Amino acid sequence: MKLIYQDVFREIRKAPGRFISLFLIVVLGVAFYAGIRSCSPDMVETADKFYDDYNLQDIRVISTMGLTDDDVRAIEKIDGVEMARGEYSFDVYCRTEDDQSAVKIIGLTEGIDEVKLTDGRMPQKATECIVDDHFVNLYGYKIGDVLELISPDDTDIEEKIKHSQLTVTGTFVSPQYLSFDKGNTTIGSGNLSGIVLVRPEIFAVDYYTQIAILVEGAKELNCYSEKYEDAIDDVTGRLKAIKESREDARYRQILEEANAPLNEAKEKFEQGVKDLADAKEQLENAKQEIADGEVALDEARKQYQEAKEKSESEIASSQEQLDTFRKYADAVVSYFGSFNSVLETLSNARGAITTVVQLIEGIDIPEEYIPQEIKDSLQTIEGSIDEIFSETGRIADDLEVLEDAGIITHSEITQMRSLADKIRYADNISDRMAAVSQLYDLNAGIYSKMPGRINSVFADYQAQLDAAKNEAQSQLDDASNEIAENAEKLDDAKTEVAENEAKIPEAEQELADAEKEIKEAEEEISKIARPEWYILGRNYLPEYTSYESDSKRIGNIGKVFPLIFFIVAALVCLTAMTRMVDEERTQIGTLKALGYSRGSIMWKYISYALLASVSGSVIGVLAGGKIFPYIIITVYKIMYPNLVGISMPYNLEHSLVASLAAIGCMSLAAFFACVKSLSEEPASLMRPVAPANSKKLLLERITGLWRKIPFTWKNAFRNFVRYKKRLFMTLFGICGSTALLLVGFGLKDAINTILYAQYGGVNKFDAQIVIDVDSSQKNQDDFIKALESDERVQSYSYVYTTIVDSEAEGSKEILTTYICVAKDADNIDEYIALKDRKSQERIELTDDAVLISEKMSNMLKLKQGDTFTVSVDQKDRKTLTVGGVVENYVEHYIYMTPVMYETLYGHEPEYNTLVVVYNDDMEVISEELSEDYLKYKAVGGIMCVDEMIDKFEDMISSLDSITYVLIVCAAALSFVVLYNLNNINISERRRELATLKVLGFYDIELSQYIYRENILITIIGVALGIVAGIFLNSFVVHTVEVDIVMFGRQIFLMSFVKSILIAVAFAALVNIIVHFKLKKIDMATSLKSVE
Amino acid sequence: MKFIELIDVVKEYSTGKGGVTMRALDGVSFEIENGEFVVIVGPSGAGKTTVLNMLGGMDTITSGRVLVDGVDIAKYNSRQLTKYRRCDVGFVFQFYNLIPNFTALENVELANQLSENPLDAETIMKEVGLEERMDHFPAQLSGGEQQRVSIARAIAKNPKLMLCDEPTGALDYNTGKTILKLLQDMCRNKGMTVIVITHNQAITPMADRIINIKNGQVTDAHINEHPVSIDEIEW
Repeated sequence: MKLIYQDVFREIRKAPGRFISLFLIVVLGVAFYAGIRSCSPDMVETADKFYDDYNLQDIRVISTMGLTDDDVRAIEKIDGVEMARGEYSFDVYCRTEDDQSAVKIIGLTEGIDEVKLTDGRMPQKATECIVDDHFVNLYGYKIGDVLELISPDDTDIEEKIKHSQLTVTGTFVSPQYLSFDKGNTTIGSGNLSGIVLVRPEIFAVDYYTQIAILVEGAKELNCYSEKYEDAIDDVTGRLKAIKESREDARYRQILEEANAPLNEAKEKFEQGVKDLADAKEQLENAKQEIADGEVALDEARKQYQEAKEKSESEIASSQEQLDTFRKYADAVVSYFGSFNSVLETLSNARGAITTVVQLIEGIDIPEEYIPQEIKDSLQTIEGSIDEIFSETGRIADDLEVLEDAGIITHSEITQMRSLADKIRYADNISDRMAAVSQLYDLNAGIYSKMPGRINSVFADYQAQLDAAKNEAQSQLDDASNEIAENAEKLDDAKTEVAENEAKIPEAEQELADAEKEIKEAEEEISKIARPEWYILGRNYLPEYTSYESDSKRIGNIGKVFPLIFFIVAALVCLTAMTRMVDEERTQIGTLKALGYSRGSIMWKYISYALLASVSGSVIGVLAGGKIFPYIIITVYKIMYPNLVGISMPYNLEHSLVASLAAIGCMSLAAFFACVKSLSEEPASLMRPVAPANSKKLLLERITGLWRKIPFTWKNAFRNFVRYKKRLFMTLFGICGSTALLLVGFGLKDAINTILYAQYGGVNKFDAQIVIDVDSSQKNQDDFIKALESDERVQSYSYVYTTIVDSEAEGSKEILTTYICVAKDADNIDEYIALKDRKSQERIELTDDAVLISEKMSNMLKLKQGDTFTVSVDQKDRKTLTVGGVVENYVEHYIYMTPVMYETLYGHEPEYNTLVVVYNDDMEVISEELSEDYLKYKAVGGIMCVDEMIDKFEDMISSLDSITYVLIVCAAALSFVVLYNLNNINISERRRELATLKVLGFYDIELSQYIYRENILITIIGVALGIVAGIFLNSFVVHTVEVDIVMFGRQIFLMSFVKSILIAVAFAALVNIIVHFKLKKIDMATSLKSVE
Repeated sequence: MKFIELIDVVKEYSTGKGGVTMRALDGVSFEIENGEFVVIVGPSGAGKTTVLNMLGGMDTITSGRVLVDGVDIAKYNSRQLTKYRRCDVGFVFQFYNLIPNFTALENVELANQLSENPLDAETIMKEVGLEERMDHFPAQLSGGEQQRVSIARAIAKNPKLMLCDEPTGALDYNTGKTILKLLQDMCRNKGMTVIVITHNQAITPMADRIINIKNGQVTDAHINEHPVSIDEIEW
């Protein structure tokens, strides 16, 4: 056995080319298979590690009304939840150099959704922040710069965040944002430009915007695996179970919060209503009182008047009485005086009378003898005396009246009366006369006192009366004052009432306002929707699923391409081993004759095959497992720049499959190659193998034609029939390499189609200007005026664009989609061609259905008549009907008419974009145009199509590497196969070729002799390769395509030409090498016996 | 003037790593007249084949001169040598070396396409007695028949010189004889110079000139004044 091994090594040394080529084929096949197949799992692994290292949330809960600590606690209690954290985030504007861009400001959380710092340090104060890498690069921020944040709406930014000036302390990348895409937003143009991470204490709100959840044990699982999905689904299910109760709780809380001030206001209002009623009543009362007061006042005035009159008349009558009484008294007194004079006279006559009387009496003269005269006189005297008596009685009566007044005393009257009585009743005249004298004396005494008394009494009386008068007057004055006072009071009261009355409408208005406010508030509260939870998995993170799709795409490619290589490698190995065994027939025969067992002879070849395949597999696995994933992941990192690290663990499964398959193929090839030879007898083995019979071809039956065919061609034709296996494999090789080339170029075409079909065929405008709709109307008008007068611009049109998430039933995808509403929907064709890709026919836009872009229809599996929903940040969900599918390559679009938009959203679209077509007659330089227009305040941004094309070309140039990989692969395939087969061909036909040389074939003729076959095979192979390439290209284009673009579906003519030329060039190159190999053929070989 | 003249031809091969040079030809000199039937004879390893290679323009020499028709072909470059082989030399191989893909006739035609003034292939086929089997593939022919095709192929080029390397080596006695006869006839009839290389001393009587080679040297070269027909030779 040792000899066998020695023989194997000698074999290798003798023909190192064969061993190396076998080894290389195995390396290539295994590396390709194991490598490309590992790409997809490695990509996933790379991302998974990144996610896990930074604790990317597994689930997040967002609510339409914010979330609370109670929610966090409730979620934390759920089985399977490892961690739940409330997170704050708001979309705001960040002021940039001459514009503002939308950023998402997020509070940092510990243990979940962590980020990788790429520079600087984490924020330590509330006024510090870190910003994502891309944003920093885009706007040229440095660490230490200050970001100025602006509220996106009318509210004060400080209602949300306490500081609006933040110092950048570092930059980061986050697993939440693998690419430049930061997701969409409801503010601005709908695109988020950056992420700003801050310390959570900066937020001024009392609710979380989302709760991020880590699921227990999810980290250990591959995040794109079904197991992971199951684990997440379990927890999601449990979250759904508490969803409703938590929503209710939050609803109640919000209602409470909203109702508290309302109730207060209501109370206030009711109090106000009551107060107003009270006030009104009081006012009414007051009015009544005033009326009453007025009546009373009138009464008082009347009374006053009456009293005044009464008192005046009383006083007047008192005065009159007094005066009358005085007059009376005066009369009485004067009468009394005159009476007294009479008395005086009488009294004075008393002596005489007495004497007379005494004489008469003394003489006692009968009465008839008394003179008549005397008698008359006596009579008269007697009469006078009687008169006096009666007069005195009358006077006494009169005087009695004065007694009360004190003008005369009772005793005086009594004295008077008693004297009068004496006068009356005295027996004689003398006595009577005496009484008269006495009376006179009394009376004179009295009379003398009387004026004094009267004066004093009347003075008293007058004084009394005056006093009474004064008192009455003062009383009247008081009353009058009171009345005046009351009148004044009443006036005041009236003024007050009037004033208060005037206040009532105001108060009423106030109350009405308050009522209205309350109503409004109530209405608003009634409008407060029940909060709704959205439980979202990672597939709602931007790029999360598209990364998976990309890895799957590579996986799909990994299923086809390596197989091609592998089949080729296996076939080549089989041929090579067969050839080797054939070459050594004699040796096999000898060994057999010497008595070696079939097994041990076979073992030589199998061990040779094993040596090549095992070593090739090891190298292939080691190299391929790293190189291909490295290349592919590096290429994809261009699209996912935030992906950190590369994980390329050797994939045991694919490595084993590739290695075992390679080893198996080789060993089997060796086995089958030997079996045939070994079954022969040693003697026959020692003889040269009977050359394969040439047969007459069908072609030869047409003798005329056949005769005209040059020999060398005849030979080529016959060889095809003779070496079918080799022919087939050569065909396969050339066909494969042509197909690969076509795929490589076709892929570029597909991408280039995007450019020219999108920016030439679909988007007919040359520039797109974003209008800052928040800027003043004047600014906007200024710009429009400038635009209209700019002769570089041929025409323009208003368009409204916004970004929404589109979802459809029956598809897991959530697409970021543009809604595009052209103001002038009828003339949209001048700017954007809405047409079917295949027929290029225009598709009409109607008011009841939307048109969607082709890729979107593919991804969401939508066709005409289907419905799907759009939403922004899980809000504002609308259902749309597909009216048609239009050609489009970049991004996803929903086109609708303004009418439809308005019916859908209830308001007119706010046209925020202008599409502009340049003047064809002028050479318009986009840079200049943008520079000019950006000076206007109304211009928020400008995108020129030619600049976009440049940018796009830059971006897709990274995909060139894939094309190069394919070209290199094609070359490798072409070389390995053609070279190997040509080698075999030459070695098999060495004798024939040497003979031809001896016969005098020039080198070139000899080469041509071989080339003819090669050329024929190349032609056929290339032709087949083109056909295969078209199919393969279609497959590759479909699988490689990223979500937001649709690649072109056709291959350009130039690509066919290039593929053919390169394939032919590869073949030619091999043929050149063959030429030199042929040159080296030793003519002496022809002389040797057949081995 | 001699048709072929070898003067002091030395051919050395360096073999292996040791730098050992093996001298295959060690100063070989002989001459051949035009139209002669020459037999170069010697034991295995004597240098016969090397001489053939030299004459056939298939190999270069280390020193000396090989004059063919007055021209030193040793000085030819590879292209001149090819032209020389193509037009002036016809080869007959021990193992026939027919192109398996071609029919007998085609094998002949292949050769006469190369030559400047070829003979008609079918006539030649008739001359070698294969007119019935012209359309057969080599694999369908016997060894003798194949060798006839080989001879026909050589003749069809109408060469100045025919070199035959052990033409009977793989054939049985009788077939070998007919082949040699054929060669002799061609020589006689067409006036072609025919050089047969063999280890078989027995056939030397049929030659016009006999050259003995041993250990890379010509041991004897003489003209046979009375060549006999092959039919008269037995071995």
